[in-house]
Amino acid sequence: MSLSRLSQHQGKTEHARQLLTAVYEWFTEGFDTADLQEAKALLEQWG
Amino acid sequence: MTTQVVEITTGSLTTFHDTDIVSARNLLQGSPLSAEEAAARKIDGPPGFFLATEVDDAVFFALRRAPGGGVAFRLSFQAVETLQAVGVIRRRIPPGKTIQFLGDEVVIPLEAFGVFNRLRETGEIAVAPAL
Repeated sequence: MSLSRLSQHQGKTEHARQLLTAVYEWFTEGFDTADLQEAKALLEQWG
Repeated sequence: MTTQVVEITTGSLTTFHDTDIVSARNLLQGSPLSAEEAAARKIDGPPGFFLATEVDDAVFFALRRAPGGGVAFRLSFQAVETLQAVGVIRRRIPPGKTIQFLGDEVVIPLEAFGVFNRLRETGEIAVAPAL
């Protein structure tokens, strides 16, 4: 999530959301793990 | 040919690379991806390193290099993020003349080999036998 967070911290929230969405969409399982839950929470936050 | 699927670890993307038995053994023993070897060994399409999301698709490619062996690559969330940033893509496997594939392929272009190798060294990409 580091690249997405960096982008968000630079004020590029939409870019950050796109980056994180692209990563998140590669996964089809493991949605109960910390990484994916954090990613989901950030995506919801960045809406 | 029998296929043994490795245990899928949650929180990672499990992909499969089936190849000849010597290359599979080398990958399992830690050999890094080599641009020279990829260019020399390509059968069709541009050189690169290809991972299948479905083990049955990977087996097809092993059959082209029989006797084959399979390797599972488990990519962490961090690994996927890093690889995407250097041009690695996931797409449907292009159909062959006589075969339709079940899943996708993760395409690692030659330019991304160094990053891929570093992710293996740091444990963000884990390797296990798959066939």
